[in-house]
Amino acid sequence: MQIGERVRVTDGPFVGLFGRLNAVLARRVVITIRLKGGPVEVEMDRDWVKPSVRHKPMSLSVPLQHRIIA
Amino acid sequence: MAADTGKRVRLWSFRQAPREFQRLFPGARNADWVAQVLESERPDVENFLLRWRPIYPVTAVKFADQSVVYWGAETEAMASLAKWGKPATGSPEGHERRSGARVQIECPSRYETQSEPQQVGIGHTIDLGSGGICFTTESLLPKDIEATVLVKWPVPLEDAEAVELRAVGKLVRTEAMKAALHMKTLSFLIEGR
Repeated sequence: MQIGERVRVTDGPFVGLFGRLNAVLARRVVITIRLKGGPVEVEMDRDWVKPSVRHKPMSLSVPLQHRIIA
Repeated sequence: MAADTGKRVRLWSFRQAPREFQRLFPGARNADWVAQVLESERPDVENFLLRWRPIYPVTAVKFADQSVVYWGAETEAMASLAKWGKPATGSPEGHERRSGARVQIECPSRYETQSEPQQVGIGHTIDLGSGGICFTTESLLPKDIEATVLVKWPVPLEDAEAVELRAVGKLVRTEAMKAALHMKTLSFLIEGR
């Protein structure tokens, strides 16, 4: 991953958000993500961030209703 | 408080969090998360962290300087599920080998095996527990192979976004149309992202 690259958060409470890579530390990265109030700088484990790719991750495509088994 | 952090939010898996933060949450497990948020960032960030509370407990400890350290007990999600389903009893074979409480709940699921030839299919969960997931399959899957199972979680985040559980582990039991995954890791995804 390179500084300035668009990245996607893949784990933790910010999962699913996109951001820009600001810095790479030893096992950590710093990214800027945009929340409702504006940009926020977040430092997290390096393996919680992946380069942003265009293809959609494996996802459930059939929106079924949940049903508790009687 | 930890040493100077700059004006940024800091996040760790519990396993890698600073020791002084680990000590705040003695019940935490390695796969949980810990976040340190300074007062200046709290208005934006706090709601984003607390919105996970319908899925698993999020606990906060406030410091004198108004900064807050949060613990997201992601590994408690299965226990939190108990109020949404019916307790499961017994095993399909008649002799219970699984530990921990399980909940009978039917949620849409999708699976993907890791070994060749890779098999992918959709179905639904039969029951879930802290140790694993029993789910329907489209065919007989090989036993003792690694697999990933995505489960549409029955509860959304506080802001109504839908969530999926991503469980990775080994298929410990397989039958013609169902399988049981022993979970090694679990994490949550925002549906569609």
